[in-house]
Amino acid sequence: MAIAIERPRSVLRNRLEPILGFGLLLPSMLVFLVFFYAPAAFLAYISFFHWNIFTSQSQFIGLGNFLILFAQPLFWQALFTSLYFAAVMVPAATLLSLGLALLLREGIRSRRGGVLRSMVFLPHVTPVVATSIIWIWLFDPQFGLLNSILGFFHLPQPGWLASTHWAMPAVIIYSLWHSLGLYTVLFLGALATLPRSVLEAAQVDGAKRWYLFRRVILPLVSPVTFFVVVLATINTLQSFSQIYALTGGPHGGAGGPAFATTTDSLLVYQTAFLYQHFSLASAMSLMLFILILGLALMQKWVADRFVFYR
Amino acid sequence: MDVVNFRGVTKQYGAQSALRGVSFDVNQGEFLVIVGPSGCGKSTVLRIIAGLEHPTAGLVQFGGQNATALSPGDRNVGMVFQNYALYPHLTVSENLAFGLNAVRTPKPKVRERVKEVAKLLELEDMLAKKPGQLSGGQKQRVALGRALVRQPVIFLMDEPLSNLDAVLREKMRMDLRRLHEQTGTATVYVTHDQVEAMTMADRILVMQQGEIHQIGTPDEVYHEPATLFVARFFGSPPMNAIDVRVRHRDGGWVVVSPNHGERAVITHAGAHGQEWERLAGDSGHWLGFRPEFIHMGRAEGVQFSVTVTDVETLGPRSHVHALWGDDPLVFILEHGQSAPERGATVWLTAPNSSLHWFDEENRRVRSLKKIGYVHAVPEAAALINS
Repeated sequence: MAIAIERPRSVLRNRLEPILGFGLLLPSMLVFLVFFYAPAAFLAYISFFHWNIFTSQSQFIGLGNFLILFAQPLFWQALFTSLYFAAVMVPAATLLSLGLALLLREGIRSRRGGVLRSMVFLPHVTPVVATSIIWIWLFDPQFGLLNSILGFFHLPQPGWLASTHWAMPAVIIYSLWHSLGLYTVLFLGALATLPRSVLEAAQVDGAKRWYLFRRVILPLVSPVTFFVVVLATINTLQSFSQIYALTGGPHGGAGGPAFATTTDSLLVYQTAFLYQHFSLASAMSLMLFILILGLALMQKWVADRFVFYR
Repeated sequence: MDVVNFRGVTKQYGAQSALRGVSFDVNQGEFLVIVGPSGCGKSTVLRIIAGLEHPTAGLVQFGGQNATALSPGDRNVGMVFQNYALYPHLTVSENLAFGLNAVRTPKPKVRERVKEVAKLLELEDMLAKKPGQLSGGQKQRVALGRALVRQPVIFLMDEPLSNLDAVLREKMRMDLRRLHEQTGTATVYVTHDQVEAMTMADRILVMQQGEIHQIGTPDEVYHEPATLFVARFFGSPPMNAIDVRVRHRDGGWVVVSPNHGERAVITHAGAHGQEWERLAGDSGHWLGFRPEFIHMGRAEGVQFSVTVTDVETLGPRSHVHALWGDDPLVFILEHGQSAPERGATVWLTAPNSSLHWFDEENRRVRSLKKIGYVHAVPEAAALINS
């Protein structure tokens, strides 16, 4: 029979242990509290006020800020622009990164595969503002590389960042370039853990490429697909820097020719820091938060039905 | 016609060769077991048949046709993997139907086949379950069912029982054999387990280091091993082998043990001088005899006086380990025979009919049989230990 031998522990130590635990947690909890939860709570709080940061003449106006927002066409336009951005970005990023990962998978163990993987991941580690400025040159309607290539093939040359129609696609192209690496690496990780014998069993069973992908690979990487979709949604709806850098400059930091790239987050920035309407911007942020939360919950609901966890 | 032919198949992985010129045939309806230690190339053979690997050189034929261009799915093989390799996200029924659906079989036909196979393998109660909810033995049956459902021309099994516990393994061994008799489909079964090979095979193919040592029935492999490796691979404990030389002495031929000061173990009385002439010289030969054929005491045959070092009691029988000079020998005592004490000196006899002879390249010397065996010299052996 096994006999458990416990060292006698002092009463003091028993009492101190939880205190010590909380003590160790405290610094990070404080940081979170001061820089995240408190501002977030404060934001929710001031969204019900007519707030003035310079004087103490703030005034409770209930849902007033929200009513102002809903009456503003620009708010709805920004919301639509955000959703348009996400609606293109999320599927495009997910499909392209999965495709890239499948292409790169073959050489996953070879040295050349490593170089290729690094090359795909590289854009993601570059600073957004700096590379955005480079892309402004690439997008230049007259002298840019992109239009030179299109011109060479006698294809129509859009105005890109100068065009209300093409400014958003340009932002999407840049965002894809910058973020694909991350998602591709996530998919590569998922593909690397696929059990080899299961793939071989499917081959022996007569599954051709497409059938193998649809019936075996896709279901087995579905947890990562779900993760990528959620991550891409959040990243897209929150993106600010590249839109500001690509289209903000000549338009007062508010995005796009004629607000073509003014997403919610840019509108929040403009309202808060250009026009000093902090409470209105807070209300807007709250709406954005609710939107993202709603989308994430919806994705979770879908995922519970289609994602297979091993 | 044969189901599969291998003609001089070689497989290289970089500088390493997994197979070196392997040739054999899989006959219609036979149960062929490929056996050998790990890394001997047996799984590579199976994967080449399945089309999952391609030979570096040599020819693989399916039904007499060159199979080089055939993809795994076009070969119509049923494969059972060691770790089952079930599709974890599909139910048992979907796992069974996968192969049929992959080649666009009409739905009613799929349902019918899945039902048949589920009945045959007693999987009916678990059709709606996922592999994660099944025990090892159940997963094994699903993996078998998945191979069966396509009615393949050949079954390929890669150590299918090695993940099961001993009791289940024994049951599955018989079930597999029975299934083979029902379907009559040629089966290639890879294992490192000599018991599985012996009990299940119609023919055994023994491999080592990418080469075939012997292809034969279990009886042939056991009673007439083609090489010393085969001789020692089958049988537990393995065959005793002592290093010997053939010498011409006093007008006759003697077999001596260099480990025992060139003393004669065996002398040959009379004929077949040519045979002995061929074997004579300084090259080392091996004289083998199985532990289960050794008697205690002195009788007709090669006699040894040995010192007992260990006795392993297994219940139905005991393994006795002993030393003949520096050479270790093992022999078996059946239940009821009283085992000698450790340290005791006893006489052993390996009957003439139990002797195997292997040449300097460890190959069986078949002419030994023609010679009509040899006669042991008890005095010689006795002298060695005196």
